[in-house]
Amino acid sequence: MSGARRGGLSALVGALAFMCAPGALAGASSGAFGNLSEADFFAELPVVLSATRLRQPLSDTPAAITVIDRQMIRDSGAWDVADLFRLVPGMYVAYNVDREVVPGHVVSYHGLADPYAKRMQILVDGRTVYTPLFGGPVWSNIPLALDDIERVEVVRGPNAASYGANSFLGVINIITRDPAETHGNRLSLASGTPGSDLVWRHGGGTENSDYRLTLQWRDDRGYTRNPVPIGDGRSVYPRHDDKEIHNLALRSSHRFNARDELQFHFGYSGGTREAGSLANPLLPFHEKDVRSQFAMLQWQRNLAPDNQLSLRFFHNRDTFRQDLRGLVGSTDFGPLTLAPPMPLNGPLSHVAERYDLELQHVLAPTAATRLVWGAGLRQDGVRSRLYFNSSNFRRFRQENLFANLEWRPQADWLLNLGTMVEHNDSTGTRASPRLGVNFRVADGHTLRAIVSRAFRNPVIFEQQADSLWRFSVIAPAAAAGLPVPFQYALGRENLAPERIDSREIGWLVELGSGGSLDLKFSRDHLRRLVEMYEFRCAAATMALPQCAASTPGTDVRLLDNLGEVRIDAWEVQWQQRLWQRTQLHFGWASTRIHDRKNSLRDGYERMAPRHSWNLLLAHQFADDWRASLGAYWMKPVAMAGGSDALPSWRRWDLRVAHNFRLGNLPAEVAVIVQNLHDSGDREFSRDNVSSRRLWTSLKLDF
Amino acid sequence: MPPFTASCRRCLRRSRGLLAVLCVALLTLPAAQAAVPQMVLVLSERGGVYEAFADAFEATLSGIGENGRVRRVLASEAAPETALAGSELIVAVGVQAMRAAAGWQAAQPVLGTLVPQRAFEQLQAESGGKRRPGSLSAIWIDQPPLRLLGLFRQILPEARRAGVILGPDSAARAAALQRAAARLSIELTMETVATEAEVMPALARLLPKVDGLLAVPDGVVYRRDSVRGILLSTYRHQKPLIAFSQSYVSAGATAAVFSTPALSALQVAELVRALPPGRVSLPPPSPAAYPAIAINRQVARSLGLEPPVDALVQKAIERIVEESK
Repeated sequence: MSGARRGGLSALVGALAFMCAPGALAGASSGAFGNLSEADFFAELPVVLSATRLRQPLSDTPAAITVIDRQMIRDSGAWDVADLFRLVPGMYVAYNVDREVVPGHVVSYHGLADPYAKRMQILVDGRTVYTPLFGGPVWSNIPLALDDIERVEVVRGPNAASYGANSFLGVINIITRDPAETHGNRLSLASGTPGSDLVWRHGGGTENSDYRLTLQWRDDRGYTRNPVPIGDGRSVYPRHDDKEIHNLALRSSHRFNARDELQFHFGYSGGTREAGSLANPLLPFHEKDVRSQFAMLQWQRNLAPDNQLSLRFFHNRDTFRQDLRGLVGSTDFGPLTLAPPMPLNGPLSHVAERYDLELQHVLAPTAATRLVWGAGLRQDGVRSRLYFNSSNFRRFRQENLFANLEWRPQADWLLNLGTMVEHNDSTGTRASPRLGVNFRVADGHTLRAIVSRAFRNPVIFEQQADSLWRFSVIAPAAAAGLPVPFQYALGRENLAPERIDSREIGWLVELGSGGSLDLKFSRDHLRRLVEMYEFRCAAATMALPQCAASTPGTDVRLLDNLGEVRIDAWEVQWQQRLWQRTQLHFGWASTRIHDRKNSLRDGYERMAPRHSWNLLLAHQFADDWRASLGAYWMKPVAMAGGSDALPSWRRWDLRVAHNFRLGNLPAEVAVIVQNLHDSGDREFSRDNVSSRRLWTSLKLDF
Repeated sequence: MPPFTASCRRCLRRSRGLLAVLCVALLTLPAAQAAVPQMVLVLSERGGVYEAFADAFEATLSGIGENGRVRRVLASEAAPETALAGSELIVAVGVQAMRAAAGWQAAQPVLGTLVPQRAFEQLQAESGGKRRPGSLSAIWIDQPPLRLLGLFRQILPEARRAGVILGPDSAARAAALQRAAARLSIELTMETVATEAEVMPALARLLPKVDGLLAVPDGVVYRRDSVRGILLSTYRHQKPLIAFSQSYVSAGATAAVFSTPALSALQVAELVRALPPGRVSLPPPSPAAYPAIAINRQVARSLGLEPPVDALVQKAIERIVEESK
């Protein structure tokens, strides 16, 4: 890399990242070529593989974990991040043309999902990214390029002691590449059925600093655009789910000395998302402007290789804007003709933000123990006239203390004991404890048993929703101007947190050459699940608070702790290198949900596929040719909000990649086909028809 | 070379400090028959590893009753005429001191220590053979390749494939590394780079083909600003890095074999003590005789490795070196 090229951008990034500290480290200078000295042997080096960065060997992991590394990400041929989670046994993933918020993926472990799948913790470099508005992440708004991901660790089960609030059904922990590993430039281009994508990544550094800047522009054409016949002489509506995505992501680190490191992360995602439906006059086709941004600062002090103190602060802010004026016309309601309601007759915006501060200390008190403890403060805020009937921010604060002790009393036994104690404004104080035991019964065979409890706090929408639409009469003329209020949804302040009590047993077999077979059975008992239900306001019920602002004869959507289920799940994960050049990943899950109260209208039993499996087989034909085959299959499901019971779903994907040199520069060209046999299967809702998608990609390093 | 007793080896392993050196000195160096020469100890800088060497060196000498044989000077301060008066040998600690001492063109021979082999060879090349034989020598800080490969074998007993990236400073070590690898039936794959920009691509090519990476000192490959990328990359490939310094182990290398100032001091003390009486003539340069090892147990465990305790690893490496003689 030329000095001039590096200098220009590093100055810019340096200013952004508070890294302007020339000569901050007066360490012994190590040599350039021909300048080797004893300093190369004795100079102190910063700790790179600190305890927080190290992965536990599978046999020490106190949970069922699926790791998706960079090679798997490439081999999978995923178009976007959420598609990767199809490789996780028991994970429900579906693309959903959500008409109300933005189109995107539904990702939920063990199903139980609605369009805002909200019962998982989602972390990117330790920053939690589920939106406080609905509780689930908006996957397409996360400024994250697939190529910047180092690995994804998916914890299949609750683990609040280690991953914080909302680690309820599971945890998705996305770790991006360290900027020290991404020096230089990479240009990636992709184009085909799903759209076009252009990513430029630039990285560089000095002796004490590294940075990476990624810019992405994506014209995502969503799923098929034309009406698709689905039998019975019917067609699904044409999809209106295009996304124009502009991402900027910056990650930098500065090492002040061998002990102290400051990391700065910044990301911005903007663009437009299509939403709406032909069938709904109040929610016609329209475009939303979305803007998500975050900034995170993390300081880490390495007191010793096994002793780290870190302090992290971040701020997330997501904004959605839409303007339905001129799109929403008058509606007929019986004999009445009503004007477009407030607030739909004006511009709408929804803002969600989060401030989070966390201190964490990792240490090894004795040779046989390792302790992680810390404390966090968080404030969430949301503002939306549509959902809260107010221009003010609704705030939600929570504080937590967490600790996890890992104790190895004997070489073959490993105990993990942890808890998170959480306090918040609305539901008080609760503890989420967890106990895990790993026992190596024989070489290569480890048994695992875990009991845990975790809570999911109701999100602000569930607690404080006040979606009130005010119509006024246009005709008949005699009643013109008469107000007709319509309470669409009303939250409930005193909702209790949902609770999961989980028991799990696992058997890990290490197969050599890094291969492993993991078998898991879990029995989870979920209580007080928050459900939305419709309440008919009639003349006799108008005195009830939920009908106070509504009109007789209309339905108001209410929320309550109504659901209780037991989930029994068997899962198999097999990863193996075969004959040096072939890599296999296989996952299978059988999930059975027992509805304990039959409260939800459609029932919970079908909210997870009874069986699902995934397969990723990759083969390196020569140093420069690689091909991979992905297969995904799930039995029928019927998700809340998806409304339809859907038959089995299958998908076969193929990727062929060739590495070559363009001039003197390393390059890769790949062809990816998703849904090889053009199945036409539907996922999440009958409108989401999977069709074949084909694209090519080119990567160039320079 | 005097016998090096087992008890002292144990002593050394437990502590790399002054006590260990004293113990070694007292046990291994029988009463001197001839006095060691009068020496000027030229330190590259004040403090740090240089003073640590000087302290250990003097303690070792005083352990055999050779007090007052050493005068310390700083490379930057030394006024050759006065400092060298009455001395028979210059012991230069570090590259800067060795270069300064060689530049004085003094009558006394110069023995470099704590200097890399590469730096010594460069100095020798620069002097263009003008120096008389025996007037310039060194105890290198580098470990012989067999120790590095021996450590690789101890950390990865099942592994057969090691990788190494050589740069301009280390390219000349290729043949010696290959010989050592062949002796241990290890298949050594090499990548050679000329510039800093080639290091990470070379690593990306190399790592899928090998079971672990051996680090050989090189100013282009192993720089302060490349360490991070190399450690992260090897770790991502789940391959251990076997390095050449304690610092690398602290930073995240799985293991390292290296010299310490105290061990170098012992070797220099043995050398000067064995010099024949009369006008000092130095033997040819030699690599470090006494290794220390360090293992990062956390990283090893995370890579699914369970190396034996340090002492057993060290013993096994020494056995490999002994057997090859």
